[in-house]
Amino acid sequence: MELKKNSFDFYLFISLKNGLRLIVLFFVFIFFTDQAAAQSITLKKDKSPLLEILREIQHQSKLDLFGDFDLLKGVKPFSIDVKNRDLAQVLHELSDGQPFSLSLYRDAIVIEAAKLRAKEEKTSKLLSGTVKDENGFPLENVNIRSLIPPYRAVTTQSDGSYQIRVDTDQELLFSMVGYEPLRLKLNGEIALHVQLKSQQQMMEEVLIHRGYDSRKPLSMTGASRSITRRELEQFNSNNIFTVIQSIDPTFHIDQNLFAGSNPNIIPDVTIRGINNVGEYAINSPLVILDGFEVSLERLYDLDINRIESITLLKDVSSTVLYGSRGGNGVLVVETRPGTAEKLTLSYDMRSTVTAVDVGDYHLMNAAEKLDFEKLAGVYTVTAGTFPPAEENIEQARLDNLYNRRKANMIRGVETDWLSQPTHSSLSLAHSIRAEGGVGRIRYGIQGNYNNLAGAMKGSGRRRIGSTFDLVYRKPQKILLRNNLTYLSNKAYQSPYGPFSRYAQMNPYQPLRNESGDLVRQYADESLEELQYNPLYDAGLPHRADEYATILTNNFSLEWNISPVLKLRSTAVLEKNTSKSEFYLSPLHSRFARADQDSIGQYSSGKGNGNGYSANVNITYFKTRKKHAFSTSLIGEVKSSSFKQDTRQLIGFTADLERSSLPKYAKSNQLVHRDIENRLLGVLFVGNYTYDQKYILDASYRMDGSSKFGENARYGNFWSLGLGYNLHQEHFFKRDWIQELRLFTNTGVNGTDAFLANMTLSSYVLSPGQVYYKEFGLSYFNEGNPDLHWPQIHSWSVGGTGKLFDGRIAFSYAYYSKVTDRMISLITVAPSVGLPNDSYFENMGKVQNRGFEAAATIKVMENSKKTLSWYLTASANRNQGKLIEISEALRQLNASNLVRTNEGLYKQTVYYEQGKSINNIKGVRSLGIDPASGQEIFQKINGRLTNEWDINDITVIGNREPKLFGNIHSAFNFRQFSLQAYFSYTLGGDIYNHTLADRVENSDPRLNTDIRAFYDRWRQPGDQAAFKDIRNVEKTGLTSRFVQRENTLQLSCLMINYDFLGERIKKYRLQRLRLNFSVNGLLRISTVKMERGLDYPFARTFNIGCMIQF
Amino acid sequence: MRTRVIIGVIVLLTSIFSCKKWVETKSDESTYVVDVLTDREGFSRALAGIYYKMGSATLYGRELEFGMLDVMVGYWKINKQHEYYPDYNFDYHSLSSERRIAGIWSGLYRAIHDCNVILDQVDKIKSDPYYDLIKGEALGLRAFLHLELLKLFGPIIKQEGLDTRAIPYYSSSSREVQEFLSSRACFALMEQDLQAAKILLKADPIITRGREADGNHVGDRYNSLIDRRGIHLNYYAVLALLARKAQWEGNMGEAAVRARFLLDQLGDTQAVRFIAPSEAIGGNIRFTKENIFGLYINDMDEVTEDYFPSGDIAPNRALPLDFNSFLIYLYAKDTGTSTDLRVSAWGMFSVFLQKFMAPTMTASGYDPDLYEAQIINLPEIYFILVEAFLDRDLEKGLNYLNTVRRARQLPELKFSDKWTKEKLAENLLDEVRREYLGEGYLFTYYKHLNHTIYRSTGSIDPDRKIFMLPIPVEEQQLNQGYGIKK
Repeated sequence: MELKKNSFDFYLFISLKNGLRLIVLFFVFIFFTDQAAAQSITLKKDKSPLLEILREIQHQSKLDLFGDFDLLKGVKPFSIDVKNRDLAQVLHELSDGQPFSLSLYRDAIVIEAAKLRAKEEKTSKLLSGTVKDENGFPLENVNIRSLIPPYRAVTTQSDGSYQIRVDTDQELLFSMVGYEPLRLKLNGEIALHVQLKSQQQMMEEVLIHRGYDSRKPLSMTGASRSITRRELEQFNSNNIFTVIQSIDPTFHIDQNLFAGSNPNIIPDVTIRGINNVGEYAINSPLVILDGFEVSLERLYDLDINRIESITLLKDVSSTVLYGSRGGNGVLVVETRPGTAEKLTLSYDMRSTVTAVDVGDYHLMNAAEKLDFEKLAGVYTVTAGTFPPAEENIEQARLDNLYNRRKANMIRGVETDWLSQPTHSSLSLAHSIRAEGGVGRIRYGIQGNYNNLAGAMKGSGRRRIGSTFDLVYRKPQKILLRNNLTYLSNKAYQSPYGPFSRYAQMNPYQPLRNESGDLVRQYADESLEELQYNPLYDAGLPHRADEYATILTNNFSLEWNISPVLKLRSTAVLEKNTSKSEFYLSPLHSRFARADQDSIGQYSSGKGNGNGYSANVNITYFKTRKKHAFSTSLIGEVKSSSFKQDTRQLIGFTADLERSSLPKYAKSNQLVHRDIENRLLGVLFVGNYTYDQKYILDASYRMDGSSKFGENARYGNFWSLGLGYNLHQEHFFKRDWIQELRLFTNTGVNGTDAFLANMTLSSYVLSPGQVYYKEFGLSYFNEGNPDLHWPQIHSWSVGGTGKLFDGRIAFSYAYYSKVTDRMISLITVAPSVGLPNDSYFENMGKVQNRGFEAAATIKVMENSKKTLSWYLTASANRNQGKLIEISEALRQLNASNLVRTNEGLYKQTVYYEQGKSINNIKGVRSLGIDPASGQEIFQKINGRLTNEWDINDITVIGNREPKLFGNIHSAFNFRQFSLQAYFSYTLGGDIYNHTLADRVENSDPRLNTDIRAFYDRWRQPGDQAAFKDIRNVEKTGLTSRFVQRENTLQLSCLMINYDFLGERIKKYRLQRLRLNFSVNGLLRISTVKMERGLDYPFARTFNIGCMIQF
Repeated sequence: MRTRVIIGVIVLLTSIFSCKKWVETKSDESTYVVDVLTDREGFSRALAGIYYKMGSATLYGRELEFGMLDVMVGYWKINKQHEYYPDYNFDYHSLSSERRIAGIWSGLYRAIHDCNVILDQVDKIKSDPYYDLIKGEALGLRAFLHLELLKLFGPIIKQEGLDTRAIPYYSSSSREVQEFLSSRACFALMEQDLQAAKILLKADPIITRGREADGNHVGDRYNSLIDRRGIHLNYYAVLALLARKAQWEGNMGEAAVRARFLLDQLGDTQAVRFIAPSEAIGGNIRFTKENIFGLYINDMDEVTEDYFPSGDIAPNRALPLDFNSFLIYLYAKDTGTSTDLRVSAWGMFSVFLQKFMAPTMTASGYDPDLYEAQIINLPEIYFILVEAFLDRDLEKGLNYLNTVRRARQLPELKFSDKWTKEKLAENLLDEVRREYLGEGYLFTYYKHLNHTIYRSTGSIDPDRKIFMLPIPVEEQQLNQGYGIKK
């Protein structure tokens, strides 16, 4: 008789009464889905102990053997000779006439006393219940077995339910692969609902999400940093970038001197230095949100409450997964899926006070300013500019002007211009979330609203988002997730214009005239910058808004085809729209000197984008003894298209009501753009681990992109990594070492930072461009069809460790990256005749070397663990330099000498082999000659001179700090926590533009830094840092303005309190959390320089609370 | 199990590699050269683009016509506040002048590059009936543009000869920077281009239809190559340029032969001819019929309105004629007489020259003749002949001058023994000064002669610093070949 135990859904177990061969029946319902083959046994043994035979059978059948082994002790040795016999039959024969029975359960052979069966029928009862995972998903195929005779075992059904016959004091073991086993002693229950914790959860180990897969930190062969939701919650901040930087300072945010704290300017971000130099170089990391590439702006606008984790991938062993796009580092962001079964509501509210910080401005007051003007010769006629006869008249006019202003000052006119366009503002952010589920299905709904007001009046950023998550999960089998997200944001700019306008206005200029109206024009001002009151402009109709909406649907599937094979797939559809509107009133002072028919400006833009991406990922993994092996093959396609129409109207005389379009305009321009990009990639990932000690990683990716010319359409990228878990070695095991891991990796990846027109020459056809009756195509862009993917070769070595029971944890990584075939916009001699005299070329090599070191020390902790204090310090260094400079790049130096309208040269990159790419250029200066008040320069050949010569320009500073990092202190006492994040930079140079543009090169009629008054040379013998106060000649780029900068900043201070337990339960709350945080509270710098030129910096004070029902 | 994996992998791989075409998409943000230069229409639009660019304000729309160049020869009154004041003082290193000069340099070289892009691709349409026209025009333009650069930025050949450093010459669209060549080397390359163009353009429709006719038939797809040939670099323009080139090279014998050849050809076809006074007064005030090569400027009114205003005057821009204290002596006294057709046709007694007053639309639409900027005109050919005969035959020379004087309604000058080379030369220069008011011709003519510049505020002595516009700083720094003299 062949017993096909696997073909039945319901299975009947039959136990035979020994001797009588009577069948005692009881029924257990078991649900089977596994497809193992029918078991047959071939065995020949002579006079062997029964246990040995059973072990052999167990080995052949790969079944478990359990039960009361004592029963086997008295049994005589057995002889057996079977060939391809059915297992059940064999077992039956073996137990025939014995005091025990051998029975088959799903994957176990059970030994039990033969007599017990019949008896227990009467004393036992049926226990039923469900087994679920920690998220409430029913678990199927969980093994449940009794640990006290009578032994019995069942498995759960697809809805997680089970029934088992037990005695009253039975002990049960619930077990399943991937979950922590659970032992439970019964106490007469008839229903028992159990939750199993997954092993990952048990280990409390954060997984490193790499987008395509997830890894345990100990199996990584490169540096990375994971930020969990718990860490993010504590920050209670609006700005995700500063949060990430506070946690990992290698995420570097460029301090934007101009944009300050403008909420609508997305800062430049880099990880581990600048890989590409030049105007069009993109060095920002790739952002992957739920598997889909998104812009940095999207991350900037993402509601922090939606984020489950953020992972920074820095080393090539991980970033190579993104091949051509991963060279600048990758940020992998995962959002929260719905997980709880019980309906849970949470609400997060944050109120933010934005307080403007103009502490870097030290402007003259009215008295100082007038004295300064007098000294600088504003009120003295320069000899020779007027005919002798008119000189006196002019001098009298100037004297009058001075006296009038002085009278104003004495009368008390002291306008505080800086405070006019700014305010402290309160903004609120709300985020609400509901999640729940039925059976295998979970859902999560979230909505957020945040209208963040900026420090300048009338500016801000409004973000609205909603998301709907649906998860279907069959644990260990299948996971389907669909996420539908709608986001919208509106960026509105201040009508007050650039902040720098206010920093130039003079304190003796009154805001309002005698009748109390705002002054529009100061009649006695000759300088255009000072003639018009910016506040008057601010009161005119104005519009500078941008709207964007994004609708995204992410679908992902995870299917465990078999224990060794897994299929993952994601598909993303996206639709986005953008709209912008800009209106400048014809009455605006910008048009004060324009022709009557070209005043007023209106422009609007509309954009529409579509994108999709999909990938399929097949993973095969196998563990055999100490060998663990996994490999994945991934295919990916990605497409995005964007269409944009912009319209510009210039010239309409009458001021308009908002949003009504002018009927007539002198100039009416329409521009249409249509961009389409496609990418496809094939990725292979292999990982081998031996005994959890040695790890080998190998990855290869091939990418093809539409952006490239035909000559270089595909690129190949690879990496190799090695890891060594020293703490697993027997010879190294020490009590005080919990973790000690070393890794190294090397490989090549790329950056995707380019446009199709870099490779293709093109014409443009604009409507007005007609030659007689023919459209004229104008040569627009010179393409370089030989342009290649830039390659970043990198290697890295590092280690992590945990010592003394976690009292000390540290990590260190050293890296070296070389960007080869860097894409640069090369400027050629104008005679070549290229549009803009430039084209793109692969040239130059940039090297970045640096290290990242961090250590955490548990300073104190009491025995109850209710009080603890951790200190973390990190130190980083990155030095980027040009290691190979081509002739063309060297020539760029000349073309980079861009002159401003005032004829001054701007501080731009200067390429010099072996020098930093973050350098400062200028002419060496020995300072101001005390005798003459003139600057003394040193020529390249060493000679001293008073003449500034463009040919003496050289590298005079390095902006990269010698060291930068964070210091983080976290103090916890029960539910209270106080944290402070300090950041520091040491030893970088900075070109103090305040000294250059405001102290020396400023027109003395404009208001400026007080040093222009106090610290400039006045008479022979003065040891002054700045040139003659009367000298109005422009100062060129000089080393005199280069300063060494050391800064210390309290970037974030936060206090959190969690209410727990009974205190809130009575209000039916699960959780209540209060937060308070301050950003940018304190900044100490060795350089005194105005910051936030177009938009001031601001401090933010946040008070937030989170409630969960 | 294994077969499932294999099938999966195969499906994945094949689906990815079948996407090869898919990934080769192009954004249609721009019109790519490889897509455009495939048929006659693409090439003629690309050519039209070059002409259009040449008509921009930085080149022949303004600076190389009535703008910078004519400011410097003193046709207009320029005060201290005027935006052209630094140019008027030959202060080439002031920011505004520097930008203007850099704009001329790179503008002309960009046009050269555009010609080279066409020339590199034109063999793709070798079988097209208009292949010769396209290639001939592009070659001729390339030579013309280089000659213009040489005239402005090159040496004073009369003083320095042909072997000093001149300009770089670009004969292909490669991005390779070319070093500076001697004038002699440049002329040789120009000669090559012009001779090739001459052969290609031998069947130019201008020969049979004249400079303004439209050769398109009703119902056909419009072909701009056969419409109004006078605004294309046509066959006659190539002949004129050959003469002009020989003139600048100092080879006046050859110049005369070439000029005579052109006049003989034109005498037969009348494709370009002197304007009749009746056509000029109140009608064709720009004497367009005499343009051997003109540039059509669609936005002529916008280009000129600020400088020759009819309404509001922007004092720092407007260019009032320096007439009462200066030009009156040229036009109405000495060698001139007030009967001069130009005086009446161009409205010389008003504050602003009427010649460039923004053309207004008439009932019958606009008159295309008012939208042409003059690049090479018929009198120039006569002037070349006069110059050539200065050393050989004064009477013949005077005859040629008289042909122009007749056309301008000036009394003929009678030849006698009293005529000296100097006297004829003076009469020639005065005639040139009268002829090219507002056309940007005179400055380089002075340079060609290495002659004093006459101005109301005092004469300017010839000087390399004045006649050789400085090579832009960017070129000096980025062109390795700048230091090399050949």
